[in-house]
Amino acid sequence: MLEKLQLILREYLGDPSITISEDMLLLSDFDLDSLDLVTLVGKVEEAFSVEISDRAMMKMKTVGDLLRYLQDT
Amino acid sequence: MKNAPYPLNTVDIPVKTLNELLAFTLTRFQNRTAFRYRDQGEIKTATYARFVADAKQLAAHFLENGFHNTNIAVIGENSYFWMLTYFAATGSGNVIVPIDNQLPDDDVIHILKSSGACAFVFSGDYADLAGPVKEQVKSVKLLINMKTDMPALLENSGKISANDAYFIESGIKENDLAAIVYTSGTTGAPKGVMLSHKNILEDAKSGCRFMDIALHETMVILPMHHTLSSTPGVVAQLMGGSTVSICSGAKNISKDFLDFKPEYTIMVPLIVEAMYKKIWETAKSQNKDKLLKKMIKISNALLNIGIDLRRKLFKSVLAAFGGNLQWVLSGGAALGEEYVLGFRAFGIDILQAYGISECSPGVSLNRNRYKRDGSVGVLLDCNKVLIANADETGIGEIYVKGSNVMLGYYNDPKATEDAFDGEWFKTGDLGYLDEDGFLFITGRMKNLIILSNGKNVSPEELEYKILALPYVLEVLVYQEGDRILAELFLDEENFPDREQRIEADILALNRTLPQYKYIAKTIIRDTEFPKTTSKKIKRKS
Repeated sequence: MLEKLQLILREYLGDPSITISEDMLLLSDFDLDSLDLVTLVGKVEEAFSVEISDRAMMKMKTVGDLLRYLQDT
Repeated sequence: MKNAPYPLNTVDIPVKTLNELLAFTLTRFQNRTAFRYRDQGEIKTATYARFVADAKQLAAHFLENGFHNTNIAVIGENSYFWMLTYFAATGSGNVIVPIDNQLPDDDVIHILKSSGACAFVFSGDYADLAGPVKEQVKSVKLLINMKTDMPALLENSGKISANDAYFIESGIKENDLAAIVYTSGTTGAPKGVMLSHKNILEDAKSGCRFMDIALHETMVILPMHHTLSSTPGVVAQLMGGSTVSICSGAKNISKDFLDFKPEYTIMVPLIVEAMYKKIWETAKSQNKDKLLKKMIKISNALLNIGIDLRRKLFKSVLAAFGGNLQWVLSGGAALGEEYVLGFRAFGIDILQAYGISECSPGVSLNRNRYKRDGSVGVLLDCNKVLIANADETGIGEIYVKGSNVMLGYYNDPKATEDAFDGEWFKTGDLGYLDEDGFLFITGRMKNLIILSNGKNVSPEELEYKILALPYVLEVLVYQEGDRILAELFLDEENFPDREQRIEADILALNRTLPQYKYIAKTIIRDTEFPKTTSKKIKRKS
């Protein structure tokens, strides 16, 4: 699951070689703004066939948070 | 089209309170569509008649349960039920407390406590908050889950007489408190801005006189707890009998543009910028960016000789916004001129406005046919502006007085006193008025970080939290672009592991903060910060 998520992130960031670890912050470590996060989450929803509520999205701080949400859903 | 002063629109809206506004809409626009929204993926509509009936039904529920002259808090993503709660609370002689849905749970509970909220209305996503609220906020006696409770509450909607005394003759007066809107204070804790019925309605009426908004199609994108969304985005639209489509979240913006096809909307710079970038990214991905640039050159040349073909030439660009979008009101933060000019080239006017929650919020705006680039427009006729303590170039602090200026901060007489100079509200923003009365914003006096999503962040609030770390001796939080940075001076002597600890501690702190308050980067200093004569750290200018 982490690998699939890493692929989505790398594609979105346009950097296939970027290191992505679970403790990285979704916004500041990837230099994303809140709208980027919304777009990214939309791509994750599509890829994993899940729906992530705005409230759940706002609580996600790190790659690990997103991963755990996907694992629990 | 000539860019010149033109008469204000005639506005005959004889209402003094928000419940009178609902009665007014019923007499004028009964069968028109008031709201369009998504419900479990399906698009639904509500006429003005149904909307008022639903609002009355919910108001009746509040009153029957003894809620009158109380504070009713609401939280959730934008929805028809959120909007109903706003009007049912204010229409039943209660006060609405809209809570920012990006706040962490602890902050929501803090606002519920500090506002003394007696009822808490929340969307289904916030159902998990019901338990902690019940347990921790003793003042809350009624909880309504919009998803599970609201449909049943509205089952008998429409059966209440249109003349029911408690709604139409509720005894509400224009100067009564209608809303308490929490906003980032400059000293940390959020402050409750108290807005009366008159404040909100006078600001909205003024907006109707200045903007062409009657009987149109609009879409509300910004979160409704934001006064920029609720006053011009909804209250003013209802005055004009327009149809308000409710965009339920940032994820749905593109889809909702296509489905709702609004003629105008309100945005913050972050959204304007993202939309503009998306246009060019799409063009580039289709190898049409060079062609698009050429077309803009041709179109601009034609415009110079009075031929406007923009809506035909850029039909495919405009289609991404539903095809009907003509103008966007942009507020909340400064927007780069390139976006204004860029959208104008495609045939969409970005009209910059200036407001602040304490002024309900509108103070000035660029009108549809009278605007000045770089400015935030002309002053609304509900308020006056004084440029206080102006320097030799005419720049000074923007003071505002008028019927849109708040009653004060809730339970905070000291902050209220500090915010006023006599009758004038001190905005903390710096600016000047040009010879034609256009207002220009040049900076801020107060230490407030303003992000492009319109969010205000108090650096002191974050500094206070960082200083709680035992090895931090001094800290300065400031803005760099659209990010928040913390510069630190650490205790080298007693904490040899300080630099290893800081990263984890800032991550832990970020976890407690809403995303927009994230500390994106830390910088460690080798020396103390330079100080003012009163020994305060000199802030970045």
